[in-house]
Formats: sequence, structure tokens, C-alpha cells
Amino acid sequence: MDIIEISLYFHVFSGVIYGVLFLIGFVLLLNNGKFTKYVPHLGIAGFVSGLISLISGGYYYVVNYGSAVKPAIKSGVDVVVDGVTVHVPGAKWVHSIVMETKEHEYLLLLAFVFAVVIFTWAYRNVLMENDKIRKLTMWLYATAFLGFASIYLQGIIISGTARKIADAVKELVI
Amino acid sequence: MEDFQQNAPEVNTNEGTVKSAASFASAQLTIFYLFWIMFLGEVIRWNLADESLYRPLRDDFLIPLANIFIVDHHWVGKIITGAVLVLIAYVIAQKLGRYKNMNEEKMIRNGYALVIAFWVYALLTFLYFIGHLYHFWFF
Repeated sequence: MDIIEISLYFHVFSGVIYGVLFLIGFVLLLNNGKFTKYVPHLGIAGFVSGLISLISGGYYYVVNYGSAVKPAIKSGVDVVVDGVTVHVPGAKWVHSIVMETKEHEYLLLLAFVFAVVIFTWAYRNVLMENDKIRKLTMWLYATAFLGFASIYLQGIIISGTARKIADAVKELVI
Repeated sequence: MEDFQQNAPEVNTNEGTVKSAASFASAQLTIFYLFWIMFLGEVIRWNLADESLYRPLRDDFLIPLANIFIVDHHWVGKIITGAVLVLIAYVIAQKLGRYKNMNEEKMIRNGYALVIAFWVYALLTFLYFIGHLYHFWFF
């Protein structure tokens, strides 16, 4: 396993941890039990996890995606089989719409989560008693989680497309 | 003296709330800065047609300006820009004292506005890139 693969695993794994932490926070706020006091801590851990995911994903993008995967997704791949060039088509929209949206949504999501963490930490002492603040925090955590879910879905579309192209090339070569 | 202390007015417990609200408002301000810089930066950088009448304006002014903010579309540049913007937004929000009169009700309203702002941004970004790819609009 090389550093490129490791960065991709880190990107996905820390991203999932981020999502799970905010989902747990949302459920705790919904039930408002004795564990609700840990919601601000979950938020901080989620933010850090999201940041790790962003940095490792950025590294993967610069080192591998931009130079190897992106051109294949955008324009397809030409494979020479027995002296004949066969074109494996790409899917330009996957990069130009899905990947671009994912990138920009992710950057704002972390800025959003930064505000959520400050808010939740500032109100940590009244989170359980003040119903209005608890409900708002619940919505903020739900948005942080749904933002992750949307990004995760987009990630599946991108990696699925890349895999499909790689499989088609492999089939032609073998 | 003891009597005076007993009848002394209560300490203003709202102070902490107002400070927290100001921090939250600063963070919100940061988000809107990021929103505009990112979105406008991308629009300026990518979308002025290559051979347009605006080429001198684009080459000599808009692209260098956009590059300052997004540093050649490089992710490290974006992170550095983001960090600088966070600092600037925080200082401006504190200096302006715009949120001094923030109360809990206003702050809660701002919180819901933030949730809406995030989804509007996500939707706009998605629509923008669809339009960009299929040339629905000039930018």
C-alpha cells in the first residue's frame, strides 16, 4: 500500500467518522437524555475528523486524481488492442458536475461545522434545559450530517465511474 | 454593608450569552465571506470567454485578483485563504461590534438562517456546475 492509497483510505474513513459523530450527536439531541452533555465534544471531534478528511482528500486529488483519474473520467481512455485503438468512453458530467459540487460543498460544510462547533460549545451548559437552543442545535447537527451524506453519495458516483472505466480497460487488455 | 450586598442588583447573566452570540455571528460572517469569495472567484476565473472583449480586463486584473484568493485553484491556497478569511472576518465582526445587541431570539433566528444558507449554497453550486457544463448561461 503506497501513500496515495493511504491518503484515499484516510479521506473516506475520517469522512465516515465525521458523519457518524454528527449523526450520534443528532440522535442524542433528539432524545435529550443524560448523554446530551457530550454533544459539543462530538461536534469538535467531528470537525477535526472532517478536517483530516479534507486534507487527505486534497492530497489525493493533487497527487493522483487530477493527473490520472480526472482525464479518464472526463475524456475516456484509448486502449490499443492488437494494433487497433479502442476508445473506452468517460463520463464528463461526473467530474464537471458531481466532483465540482462535492469539492465546493465540502469547503463550505467545514466552515459551517466550524460555526456549529462554536455555537454548541458556547451553549453547552444550557443545551439540556433550553428547548429552543436544543432544537436549533438538532437542526444544525442534522444539516452537518446530511451534508456529509450528500458528499458521500457524490463520492460513490465518482469512485464508481472510475472503477467502471478501469474494469473496461482491464477487460480489453486481458 | 451586608444589607447593601443583599439588595445589590443581580449580575447580568446575559453577558455570556451575548458574547457567545457574537462568536457565533462572527463565524457566520466568515461563512458568508467564504461563500462569496469561492463562488465569485470561480466565476471570474473560469468563465470569461477566451477571446472576449474583456480579455485585457480579465488578464490584467480579474485573473490576478482571483489568483490572490484561490491561488491557482490549488487546495493549499484555498485552505490558506480560508484561514486568513476566518481571521479577517473575526476581527471585523469584533471591531464593528455589530452583534452587541444580539439576544437569544435573534441568535436562534440566525442559526436557522445558517441552515437554510447552507442548503441554498449547495443547490446553487449544483445548478451552477450543470449550467457551466451544458452552457445554459454565459458564465
